[in-house]
Amino acid sequence: MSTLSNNLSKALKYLPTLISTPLENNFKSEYFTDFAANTWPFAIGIVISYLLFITIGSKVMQMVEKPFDLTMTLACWNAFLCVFSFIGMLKTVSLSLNNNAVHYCCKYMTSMYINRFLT
Amino acid sequence: MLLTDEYEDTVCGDPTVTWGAGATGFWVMLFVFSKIPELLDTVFIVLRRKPLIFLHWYHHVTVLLFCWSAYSTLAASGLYFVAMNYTVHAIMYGYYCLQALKMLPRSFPAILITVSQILQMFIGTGVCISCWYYNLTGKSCQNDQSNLIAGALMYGSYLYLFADFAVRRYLFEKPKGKGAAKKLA
Repeated sequence: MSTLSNNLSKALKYLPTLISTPLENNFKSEYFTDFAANTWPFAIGIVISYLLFITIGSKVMQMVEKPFDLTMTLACWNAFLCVFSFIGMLKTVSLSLNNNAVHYCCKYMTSMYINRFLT
Repeated sequence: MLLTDEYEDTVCGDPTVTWGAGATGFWVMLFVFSKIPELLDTVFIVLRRKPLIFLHWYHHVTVLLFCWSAYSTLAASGLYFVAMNYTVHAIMYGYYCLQALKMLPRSFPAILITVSQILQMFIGTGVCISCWYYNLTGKSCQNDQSNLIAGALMYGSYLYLFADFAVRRYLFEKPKGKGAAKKLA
């Protein structure tokens, strides 16, 4: 049974690299983490303009006769985010259950469930 | 959750080894910066003149700032949040897409979406508190203290708000049939 959990953890470990481009595989985060650390005013600026947009936008929309019908655009936007999040899930979930954790979980599970049925 | 050595490794290990580089690192980066275009969700609400609840914009603002902080301080526990949030969003945006297209079956249990969100907040709060505990007990845990406190407060407040929403929506509100679920996050 330990070979099963070993294989499972191996398979999970390689899932993020299964279908991935060189751009992803050669990615290094330093540039981007530094960027985040050095651009706090930018992030805060975005938040402030977002809140301003909500306040002003809602007022403007109260004055407009008819709200926009954006059903199809919204559906496409949500579909895009759904696919994006799904790929992101495939690329991140397996690594968050690292080798040891998977090994631990599966050893535990097999002793709990499978052995009970077998014996 | 079982606080094993293995668990401690996953929330405390050096991110440049655990989630920094390679395909996973690339998608963590996309996750952090996707919080900016995700603000478009609210633009749709405003332009369609739909009710905008506090939880919605509070969630968008705090998530953006928290991701920025966690990413710039190389929070070791970050991958948990990213993986959970990607998973919940994959389900949630699929649900919203079908809802916009009016293709959701009437019987679809909207409570599943809320439950998955509440579960996410529980785990998130738990991970933050456990890392905080590791820091307090002097273990080497690569998590910035103020980022952890911000994370625990953020996840805790979401937990409260989502639970409050769920109680009001599913316990006290009379069922209205389709289109009853409000757009959340």
